[in-house]
Amino acid sequence: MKELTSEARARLDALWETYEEASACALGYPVNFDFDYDEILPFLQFNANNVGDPFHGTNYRVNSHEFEREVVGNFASLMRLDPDDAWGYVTTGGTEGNMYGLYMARELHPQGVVYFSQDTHYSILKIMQVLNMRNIMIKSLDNGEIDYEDLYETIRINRDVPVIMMANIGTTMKGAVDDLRKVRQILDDLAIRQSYIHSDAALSGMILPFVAGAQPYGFDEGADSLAVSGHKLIGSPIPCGVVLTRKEYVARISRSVEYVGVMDTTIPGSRNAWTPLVLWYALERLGVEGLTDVVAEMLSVAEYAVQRFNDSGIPAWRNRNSVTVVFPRPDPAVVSKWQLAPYRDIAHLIAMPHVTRQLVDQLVDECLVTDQIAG
Amino acid sequence: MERIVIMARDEVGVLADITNTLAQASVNLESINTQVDGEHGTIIISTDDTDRALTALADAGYSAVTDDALLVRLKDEAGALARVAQRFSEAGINIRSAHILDRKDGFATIALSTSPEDRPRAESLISPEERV
Repeated sequence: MKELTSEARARLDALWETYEEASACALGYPVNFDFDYDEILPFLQFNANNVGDPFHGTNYRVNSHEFEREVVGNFASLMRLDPDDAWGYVTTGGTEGNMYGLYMARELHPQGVVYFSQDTHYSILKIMQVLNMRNIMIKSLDNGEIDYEDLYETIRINRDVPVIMMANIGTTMKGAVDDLRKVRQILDDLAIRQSYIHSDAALSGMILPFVAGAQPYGFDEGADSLAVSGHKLIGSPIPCGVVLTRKEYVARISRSVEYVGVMDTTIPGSRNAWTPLVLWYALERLGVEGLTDVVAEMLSVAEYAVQRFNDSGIPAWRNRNSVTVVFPRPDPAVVSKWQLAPYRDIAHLIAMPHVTRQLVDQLVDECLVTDQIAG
Repeated sequence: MERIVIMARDEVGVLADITNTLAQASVNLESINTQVDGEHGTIIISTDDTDRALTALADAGYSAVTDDALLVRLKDEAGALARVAQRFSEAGINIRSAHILDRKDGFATIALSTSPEDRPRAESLISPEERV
């Protein structure tokens, strides 16, 4: 291969500078910049590939299936599922995990209708379009949770149709958690015979296992599948996540997949072998104790942010056990600088591990200054 | 002619912003009709390029749909959509999707979609008061 030209090198240098500058003031997206994977970087020299189901063998031995299986087992424990009963794999992120969960639901209940709240991530709409699933959006409460009364009334009308519940375990904008116990109660009250609950636990799936008094979120509370992100709370230079479901369900899917002569139960064929190593490495180094500390600090910074905003006369709030702090949409210059993700008249900061109290102070001060300018 | 329905706040400059957004995307407006209700407005337009108009409006942050979707305006209360769904169900019409576009002043605007074959019958089940 030839050397890079000076122009090409300059472009890379410029990109590096952009990354450095943007990373220093990223407060609005649920991604963690605070990680160090130097020790496993050398593995990027291999053309490794986790093609296929991590629980089945493959002839291509440059893979990290063994580590991936451990990651799946560890995540299963955190999501309150016995690792012996669990199946899953490391995905490209929450969207693929949600797609897998809804795919599983559709295979098990082909006539089912998906119920989801107004505050559900937009990717779910794309997934339902791709999977050609019937769906009904349910109103949200002001805090972002699904409106249980509306859910009850809507399911009541369609009692003869299997219910596929897309539950948010931490909504994108407000960090709200749909109460799985209330959802299950509705299904019981209406004597729904066929149902399936998928939990989108992209961010809060890595928070709730580490707090006292967590809202119901896992398999012990009725979830049939669950998607959680890896690059969000744990942090990874490559987006990733984990999808989990019950082994018995996958066995049923496998049978239907056999018809097309393929035993690969994952959605993609070739899958990168590095992000399973990233998650394995992070879990090894942090452990439950380390993650508990990380989450406690995140929640503490989130509470600090709420107080700082409120003390400055800016109404801000957060849901219980959420690191998402909601406040009025600030000036566009502030939105742009801090890479906030506004929606209509609100914006949020997400107190990820790299978000310090000093950064919160800067954001609040800039909101105040621009408010005064606008006023 | 295919219509696009845009949900927008009734604020000074919204109409200008929408027309400007479309002009910048080189989309020609062929008709425009505005219905104001409290703080919010429903703007119904037709253009010479529906796909491009939808993309431009979405990029500019507007909630816009084509009238492929059946738009209904219902009281914002638990079970309001369910009652419409029941009418459809009794008529043997499956709702493919039901999405809330807007909630304002005690009313919700909802986009319903059915199969193209069921669409005319579905439309006939919507009362004039519920129609957008």
